[in-house]
Amino acid sequence: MGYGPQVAISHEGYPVYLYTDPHSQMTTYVVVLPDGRAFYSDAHGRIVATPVESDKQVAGAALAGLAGLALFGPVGGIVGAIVGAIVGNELAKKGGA
Amino acid sequence: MLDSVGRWYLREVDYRVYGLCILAATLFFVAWRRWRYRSWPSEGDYVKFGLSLLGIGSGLPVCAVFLLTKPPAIDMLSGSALTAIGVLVPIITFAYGLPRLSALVFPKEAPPQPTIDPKGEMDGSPRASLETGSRRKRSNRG
Repeated sequence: MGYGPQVAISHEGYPVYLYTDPHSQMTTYVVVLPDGRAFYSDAHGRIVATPVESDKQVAGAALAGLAGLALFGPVGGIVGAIVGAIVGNELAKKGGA
Repeated sequence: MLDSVGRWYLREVDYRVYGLCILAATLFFVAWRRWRYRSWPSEGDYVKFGLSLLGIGSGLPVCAVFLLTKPPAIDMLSGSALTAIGVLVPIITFAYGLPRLSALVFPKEAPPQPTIDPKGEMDGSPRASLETGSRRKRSNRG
C-alpha cells in the first residue's frame, strides 16, 4: 500500500498507515478498510470527521441576510441570507477556499 | 435574581453596545496577535473572528430571554432585534452544525495511492496507477 509505513492496527483489525500528503506535506494517519477505501484517522485507526469550513458562505449569508432584513423586512432577510450564501459559495470557489 | 439580571441585560445592552464591544474585541484581537505572535491576522482570521462574535452576540439575548427571565421577556426585544436574531441564529447554528454532521456521516476519504509491489517498486502499469476503490477491492481480495 502506498500510503507509507504501517504504524498500527485498528481496534477492528484494519491497518493504519502514516501518510504524508504530497501537496501539503502534512502527515496524518490513514486507516484502510478491507474494501480498499482509506479514511483519515487517529493513531488508533478511528476515523476522524473533519468538517469542511464554510466561513465565506456563512459570512455572505449573515451580511446579506441582515442587509435584506434592514431593506425589505423578514422576507428580505430570508432571501438575502440564501442569496448571500450562494454568493459566498461562489467567492469561496474562486478563492480556492 | 436571575430574572432581574436578564431584564437588566435586555434593557441596557442594545445594538450600540454590541457594536462597541465588537469593535473593541477586534482591535484587541489585532493588537494581541501583533504583539504576542508578531504577525497580523489573515483575511480568514477576520472572517472567523467576526462570525464568532456575531454568533455570541446573537446567542446572548436568546440566553437572556429564554434562560434568565421568567416568563420570557420577549417584549423587551425590539422588533428589529427579534428579526435580526431570527435571521442570524439559524445561519450561525446551521453553518456550524451541518458541516460537522456531514463530516460525521460522510467522512473524508484519503486520496487513492499507487500500490507498491513486494520488491519495493512502484507498479507503473495502468492496472495499478492510482487505482480506484474497486480495483483495490479486487487486489485486497487477491
